[in-house]
Amino acid sequence: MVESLLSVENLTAGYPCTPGLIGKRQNYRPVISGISFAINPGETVAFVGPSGGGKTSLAMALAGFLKPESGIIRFRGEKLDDQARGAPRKIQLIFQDAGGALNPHLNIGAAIAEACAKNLSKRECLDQVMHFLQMVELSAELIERYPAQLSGGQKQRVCIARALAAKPELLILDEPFSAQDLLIQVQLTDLLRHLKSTQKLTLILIAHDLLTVRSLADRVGIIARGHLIEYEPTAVLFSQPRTALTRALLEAAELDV
Amino acid sequence: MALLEIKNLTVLRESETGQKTLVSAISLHLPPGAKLAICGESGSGKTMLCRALVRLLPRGFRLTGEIRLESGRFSGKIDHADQQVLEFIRGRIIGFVFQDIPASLNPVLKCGRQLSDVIATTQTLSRTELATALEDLLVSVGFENPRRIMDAFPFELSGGMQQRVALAMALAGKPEILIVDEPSTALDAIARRDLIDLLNRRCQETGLSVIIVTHDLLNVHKFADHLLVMYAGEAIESGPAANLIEAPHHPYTQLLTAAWRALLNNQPFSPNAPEFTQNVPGRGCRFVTRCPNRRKVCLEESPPMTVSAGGRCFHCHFPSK
Repeated sequence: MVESLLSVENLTAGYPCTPGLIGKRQNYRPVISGISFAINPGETVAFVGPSGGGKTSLAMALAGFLKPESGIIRFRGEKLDDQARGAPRKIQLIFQDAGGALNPHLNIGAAIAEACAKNLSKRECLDQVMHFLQMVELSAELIERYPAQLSGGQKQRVCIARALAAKPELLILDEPFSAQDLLIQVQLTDLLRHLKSTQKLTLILIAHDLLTVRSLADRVGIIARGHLIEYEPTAVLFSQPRTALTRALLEAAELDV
Repeated sequence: MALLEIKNLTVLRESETGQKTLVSAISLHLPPGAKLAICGESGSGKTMLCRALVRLLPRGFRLTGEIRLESGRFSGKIDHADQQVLEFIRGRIIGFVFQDIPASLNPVLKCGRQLSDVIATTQTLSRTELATALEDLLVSVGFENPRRIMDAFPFELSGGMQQRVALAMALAGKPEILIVDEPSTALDAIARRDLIDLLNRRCQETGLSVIIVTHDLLNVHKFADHLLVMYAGEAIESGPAANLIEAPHHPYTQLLTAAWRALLNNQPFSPNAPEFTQNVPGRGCRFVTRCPNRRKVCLEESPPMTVSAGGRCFHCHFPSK
C-alpha cells in the first residue's frame, strides 16, 4: 500500500468570536468540523462546494495559518504540530488573490529569489530564479518588472513560481482561476497538469469551476457547511454523485452544453 | 429604436506621461429588452466601458464620443450631462451591479435599511408602502424569507446572497437598463445558475435590458442574445451571441471559444498563438503580437470594420471563414 502524503483525521478548526458584551469569554465558532481524508503522493485533489462552506479555512489549516481546535494532520506519516508547521515549507499555499499576495515594491526576480534557498551566491540565485520562471512558462525579461506591470495570469504564475522555489511537496491553490479570464484559466490548467507530471507535485485545488476540476483532479471532495460530504475519484463523483448537493452542483454547471 | 445608443465612445486616461486609450471608438446600440454580453480578457476595457455609460469614471479619466438615452422618462445625450441629470439617470434608468459586491454594500448597516434608503431616494412612498415595496423587491430577486435578509448585515450572508442584495439595490429604482459587471466569478455553480435564471426571468417579466460583463461563455450561451468581444480597448467582434460562439471570425474570439470547447470536452488545449504581452502596438492591428495568422499588412494598417451577414461585425484583415 502506498503511504499517503497527507492524512487528515477529524480536523476541526475555526475562529474565535466574542458574542455580546466586550470582555466576555471568547467563544469558538468552528468553520470546519470532523474532516478526514488522505492524499497519495502525486495526486491532485480538488475541493468544491458552496461559498462560505469552509474550503479556504481548510486550506489555511493545512498550510499552518489556522490552528486546528482538534484533529490530527499527518504529513508523510509525521504529525504536524505547531512547531513543525511553517518550518519545513513542504506545504505551500497560493492565495486566492495573487495580486495582493505579491509585494508591489519588489520586482519579480526579487520576489522569487526571496523564496529560494538562503545560502546561494548571487549568480546561483539568479540561475534559480530563471529556472523557476521558465518552469511556469514566463519569459526571462519579466525579472525586472513589478507586479503592477503584469497581467492577472502572469501574477498567478509568479506566485506559483515563488511557491515552487521553496521546493514544496504539496502545493495548495485557493481558487487560482476565479479572477482569470477563460484563456488564462485554460493555460493555467495546462501548466498545472504539466508541473504535476514533471515535478511530481501533489496538488490541492480549491475551485468553483467544475470544468477545470474535471480536467485536472484525480479526486474530488465536496465541502458544505464545514463538513466533507463526499470524497471520491473524479470519474466516480461526476458519474454517480451520492448526495443531493453534488447532484445539484453538477446539474447547475451544465457540463454538456 | 434604441434605448441606449453609443457612438465612437473613447475613454482616455491623462497623466504627466501622456494619455492612454482604455476604450477606443466603441459604437453600439441597445434596443429595449436586449441582453448584451461583453467578453474579453482582464484589462481589455470592459469595466471602463460600463462605467463610462453611467459616467462613473475615476478621476483623471476623460471620455469623448456620444452616449444617448431614449427612454420614456429621459431622452437626450448624457456623455457630458451635468450632475443633476446624472443623479436622475443613475439607479432610475440605468442600474449598476459592481464587480466587487462586498465593497459595494455598507458593512455597518443592515440590508433592509440600505435597500429602503435606495427605494426612498427614487420613489416617494409612505412608511407602510416602503415596507411592502422592500419586501416585494427582495422576493423578486429570489429570497423566500425577505424579513431575515432585511435584518441581516451583509457579512452574515453568503456570496450568492450578497449578490442578490446588490442586484435588488440596482433594481430598486426600477431601471430600464441593468449593467452587471462580472457577476459569477466568486460564485459556485448553483449560485451562478440561479443568478442567470433570475436575470432571464426579470428580462421576460419587465422588459429590462441587461448588459452583462462576463468571462464565462456558459453565461453568454444561456443568457445573452448579443455578444461584444473586446481586446485592448477595442470592440474586435460583435454579433448575435449563438452565431458568434458557433463560428467566430476574429482570431482572438477563436482562441476563446476553442479554449471553452476544450474544457467542455475535457481535452487539453494548446493554442498555436504567442503568449500574452503588455506591448500593444501603436499602429496596425492591436492583436498582431499574439495573432497566429498575422501578415505584414497587420503590422502597418489597423484593420477596418467588416460587416458580414446576420449582423456580424469584426476588425480583422484575415478573418477565418
